[in-house]
This record gives sequence, C-alpha cells and structure tokens, in this order.
Amino acid sequence: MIPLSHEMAGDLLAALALDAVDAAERTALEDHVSMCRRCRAELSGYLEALSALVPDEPAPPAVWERIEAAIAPGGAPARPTAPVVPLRPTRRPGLRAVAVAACLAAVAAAAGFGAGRWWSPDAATLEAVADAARAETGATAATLQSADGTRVATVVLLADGTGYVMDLALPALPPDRTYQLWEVTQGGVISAGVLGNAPRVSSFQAVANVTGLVLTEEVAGGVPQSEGVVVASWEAPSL
Amino acid sequence: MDVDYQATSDASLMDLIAQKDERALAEAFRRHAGAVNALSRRLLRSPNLAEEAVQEVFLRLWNSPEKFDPDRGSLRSFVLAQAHGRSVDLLRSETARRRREDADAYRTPNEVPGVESDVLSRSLGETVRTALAGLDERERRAIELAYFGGHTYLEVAILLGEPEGTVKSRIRTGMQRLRLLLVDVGVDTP
Repeated sequence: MIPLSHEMAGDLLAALALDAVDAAERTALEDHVSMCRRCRAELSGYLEALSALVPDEPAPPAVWERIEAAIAPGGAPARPTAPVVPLRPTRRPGLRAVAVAACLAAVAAAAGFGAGRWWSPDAATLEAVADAARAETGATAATLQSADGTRVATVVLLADGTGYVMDLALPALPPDRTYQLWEVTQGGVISAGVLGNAPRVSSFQAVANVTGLVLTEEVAGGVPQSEGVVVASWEAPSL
Repeated sequence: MDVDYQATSDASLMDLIAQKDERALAEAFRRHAGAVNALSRRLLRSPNLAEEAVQEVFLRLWNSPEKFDPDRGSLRSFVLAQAHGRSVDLLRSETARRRREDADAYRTPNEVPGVESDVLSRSLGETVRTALAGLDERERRAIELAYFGGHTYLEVAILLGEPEGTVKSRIRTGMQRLRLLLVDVGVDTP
C-alpha cells in the first residue's frame, strides 16, 4: 500500500470522520493519522463537531441490564436480542443457508419460538440437564465440526426450542475472547449466544427455520455481527 | 473512599472502568448511551439493532478501556464514533444493503430527508440547529447523507448526481465550517 501524502490525507479526513470512505482508504488514512499529530487533531475536531449533532435521550435501561449481566463475575452472558445480522460472507464461504428445512428446522418451526433467553444454572447442573435432554422424545442432535472434520461440539435441540451445546472440545481462549454460537436461517444469521472463553456446556433458545449452526471466536462479550473466525459449523442436510 | 460517580469526569470514569469498576461503567452508560442509541437507531432504522450496537459499544469500553485515548477527544465522541462505525459496517453488509436499497427505492435523491426535516433534529438544541442552518445547503446534504445515511462519499456523489471530487470537497469544507459554526454558538469542538 502506498502511504498517503499529508495533502491527500487532509482531503479525506472529514470523510473518514463520517465513515464515508472505503476500507482501503480507511486503512491508509488510519496509518497516516497514527503518525501525524496535525491530522489527528483535525480528525478529533470533526468527531467532536459530529457528536454535537446527536441528541441526548434517556439511556435504554434494558440494554444496561444485559451489560450488567455480561460483566458480573460468574454472571450469565448477555444474549443479544436483535434478530438477523449476517455473518460476513467471506468468513465462511462454504456454509450456505439451505432452503430446505431439515429435522432441526422442523423441530424449531413446530415450537413457535419467542425471544431467546439465557438460562444460567451452574455448569454441573446444566451438564446433567443437557445429558438428560439427549434422551428426550423429539430431541434432535447435531455435531459441530471444524473445517478438517474434527468434532468440536454436540448440539441437542428439544421440541420446545431449548438447545444445549455440550461435549465441547475447545481450547480455552484468553479472557478478552469468547466463543459465540450463531443460528443460520433463511433470513440471515442470528446470534444464539455468547459461550464464554472456556465453555463446558451452554443452553440457548432457538428460533424457527434453523438451517445451520456456526461457532465462531469473537471479542469478549460477543458481537452482533461476526468479526472473528469460524471454529466449527453444522449444516442441515438438504432433503 | 466513596466515589461520587455523578461528579466524576469522563476521563476519571475511564480510569475507574480500567480498574473494573462497574458503577463507573454504569455512569458512563447513563451519560452517553442515550446518544449512542439515538445515532445507531437513526442509522440502522431498527430499535433492536440499535440496542445491539449500544450493548457492543459499552461492552467494548469495559473489555478494552485502553482504546479510549483522552488526548484524542472526548468519551462522548469516542463512543459515538465506535457506534457509527459499527452501524455503518452493518449497513454495508449484503443483507442490510438490500434491505436499505428497497427502502430507498421509494424516494429520489432530492427527497432524501435532511437533518432539519428529521425527527432527530427536533431534539437537537437550538444552538446546534443554528449552526446547521449556517451551512451551505449542498454541504449540509452531503454531510447528512454520509453521517446519518451511512453512505460513502462515492455513494453520496451518485445520490446527488455530482462528481465525487466535488462531494469530497463539500464534505471537507462543510465539516470545517460546521466546526467553526459550533464554536460560534458556544459548542466546544477542539
């Protein structure tokens, strides 16, 4: 990449403040700004000016409750509530959202799911419950595999939409990283839950029409759209 | 020692957040999450997605407080820039792009609502509205389309039917003028 001259950077600093540049321009500009005190000051001035254009309103209390749950020591991870956010397509070119529902999707559709909710008993209790779930009538099991075919986790989905991720064979991540589970549907990809950096077992509430599951590594706390690498996936078989 | 969080500066709150003081994060949230939510909702046109963005911004503040550098601006401008970048990433993703284009198909570029006609502007202070009114109309529209519409300057050029160099220049001169106008009306923009 050719470094930007000061003049070229200056032409685009305001656009950078507005996030109105493309990815290549952004990278070049950020490189320049990191080394140029004058451009840093100019960019800061633009960002301050823009912040004056955004009105204050009361902070959303429900969001704080989720954040509080996520940061509490030993607390339940916050489950994002907003629905469809696509994984970046380049992260997982092999996984397609298949149109035909498989058994997992059929179970999900029959359940008529509401909003997802994390359930957070201690791990030993949850492991026992998850184990018992395998034997329940109507339970569907899926194996999450890494790209080389190694089994990474088992997911059991019950008729009421409750899902369990168990038998996790994953290395522990640093504290600032987490594993995150995603449900692939025909409408996009939905976060199913943030599993933590060293998960043993987790539960989640599935939505309808799940055609695949993807496990990714993300920044701690989880993200609404995947930014990390795919660790493992499962795709419902086409009929 | 008891900390009076409401009387603590943003910079000091960030020091406390770095020490994993949850009440400091709560105070930062109380001060700035409403603005982050307003901006994200305006960009994403979805209350649920906006709340996701708010959650992500403040969890990142908790997990990586060192990314905030008080020498490079205020905490408010930092969290808003984070939220804006995240929201724009979402907007530019394939699915969201299609969704937005469907919505945009119902209006011509000349009908793209501006800040002054938007509900957002009604809650802006009089001083900021005064500053916005001082902008050249073409500069203001280019800035609005980029900042509140999430468009790149190339997209803005297409939407406005103008050369990209012209739009780039309007954005720059408009932003420079906006800074000065805000200073004139008493809004501090270092």
